[in-house]
Amino acid sequence: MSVFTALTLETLRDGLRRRGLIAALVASALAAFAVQRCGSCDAAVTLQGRSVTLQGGELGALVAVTGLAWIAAWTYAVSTLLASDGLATALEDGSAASVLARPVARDTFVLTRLAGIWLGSFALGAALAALAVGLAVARQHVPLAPGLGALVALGLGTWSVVAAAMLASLSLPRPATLLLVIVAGAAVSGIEVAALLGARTDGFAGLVAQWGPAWIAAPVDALAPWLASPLPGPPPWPLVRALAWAALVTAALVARFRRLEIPL
Amino acid sequence: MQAIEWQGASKRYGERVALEPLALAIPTGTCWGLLGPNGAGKTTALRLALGFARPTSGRVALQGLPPSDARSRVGLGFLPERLALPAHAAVEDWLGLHARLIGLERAEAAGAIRAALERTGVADRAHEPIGGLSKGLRQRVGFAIALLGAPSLLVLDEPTSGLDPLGVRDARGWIEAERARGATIILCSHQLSEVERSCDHAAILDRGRIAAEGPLSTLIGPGESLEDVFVRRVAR
Repeated sequence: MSVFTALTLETLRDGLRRRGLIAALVASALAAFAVQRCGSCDAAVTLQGRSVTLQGGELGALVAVTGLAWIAAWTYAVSTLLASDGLATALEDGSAASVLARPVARDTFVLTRLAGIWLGSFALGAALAALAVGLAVARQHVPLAPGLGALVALGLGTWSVVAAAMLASLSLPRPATLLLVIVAGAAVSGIEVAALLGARTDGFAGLVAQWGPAWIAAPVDALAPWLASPLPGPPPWPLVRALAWAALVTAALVARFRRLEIPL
Repeated sequence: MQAIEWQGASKRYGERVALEPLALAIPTGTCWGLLGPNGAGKTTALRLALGFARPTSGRVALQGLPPSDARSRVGLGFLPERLALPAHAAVEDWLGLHARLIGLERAEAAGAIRAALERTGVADRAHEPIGGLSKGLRQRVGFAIALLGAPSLLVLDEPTSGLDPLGVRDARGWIEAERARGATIILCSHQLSEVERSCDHAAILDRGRIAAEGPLSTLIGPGESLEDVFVRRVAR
């Protein structure tokens, strides 16, 4: 087993010991139950006095896409929770110093923390997303490939969220890190959803919609083939942007960690 | 060959001077006591040497390399004052991780772990979670980690902290055995009698600068102890 694998697995074990992850597991199980229920829902609406019923086949794909967008948001929230102290705690309790006193490069150490926390949080999100995709494929008879694309997009988004939260945690206390990443994440997601629905985005919002991390846009765009009509505002290059942001935030984290003073 | 060399290395935090330019070389195969009152700069000097902080000015070389180079820490055994061990992990599993970090192969690692645990008296607790051990036993596990794989350079920061008198005696024996094996040892301690027994050289830091350094045989005058020298050098 390589040093990278050993440290990554140790980070994962460290994450599994946290109460936050246990709470996330329980909440994810509840969410999975909701996904299972919601994947089979029908809609009955009254339109100008006439009752109109939409069967699962017509509505289910839209519900599945919306559900996967919520799963992405949930996964990012869990990732933020775990990443906000995944590195900071190792620095505070001295375990980082213990490892870095060995012939382990700082880049290796910080990347293994990132990979371990990503594995833990993405596993939760991927399990939920896989359930939602599986139900959509089984019940709505939509193709599987877009669902797999959405999983890839979710993985990239989770990676950049984890890296961003770890980066913030090197300069801010945990509550401030949580607040910053959750507020920024909600703002980015809100702008992306508005753009997906065809809203006109200018200025900063336009920049986010065009060049942002595509945290919600990339998974939703991957699922577009499931929808009967095209997305009102298809995002530009969502997967490429998600990949670029994951690489960018990772590079920023590594650069910051290289210069960090390790407490003893 | 120098094990550690501070070449005019200083450290400032804003206006506060943690370490004045320090020029000190620790030759390989020697045992040095790094002494000083609280806040004298000992930990800062160690942090610079291990690459945990960058000097504000000057340079540091660890085994001939910049401490930022991971290869400089090959053969380094470190026992920090604030010993961090994961409570959940079994003793042998945590040593297993460290064995991998120092590049021991699986078969080689098993032997080295067993030897380190037996030597430090915790072999019978190998399967237990570290969190269930007493402070003294955890310190022994810390020693086992530091001694794993026969290090060529051993940095021990307050190594007898939490040990009972028998543990202190054992620790002295381990340090003496490492010296006899040819390892370079840096002993950071407030236990001056331990330093006097174990080391052949000492550097006394006070308010961020060296107050005295050299072989104990020249530092300590006739009828004096290291404690007398320490008090004389750092008395306010």
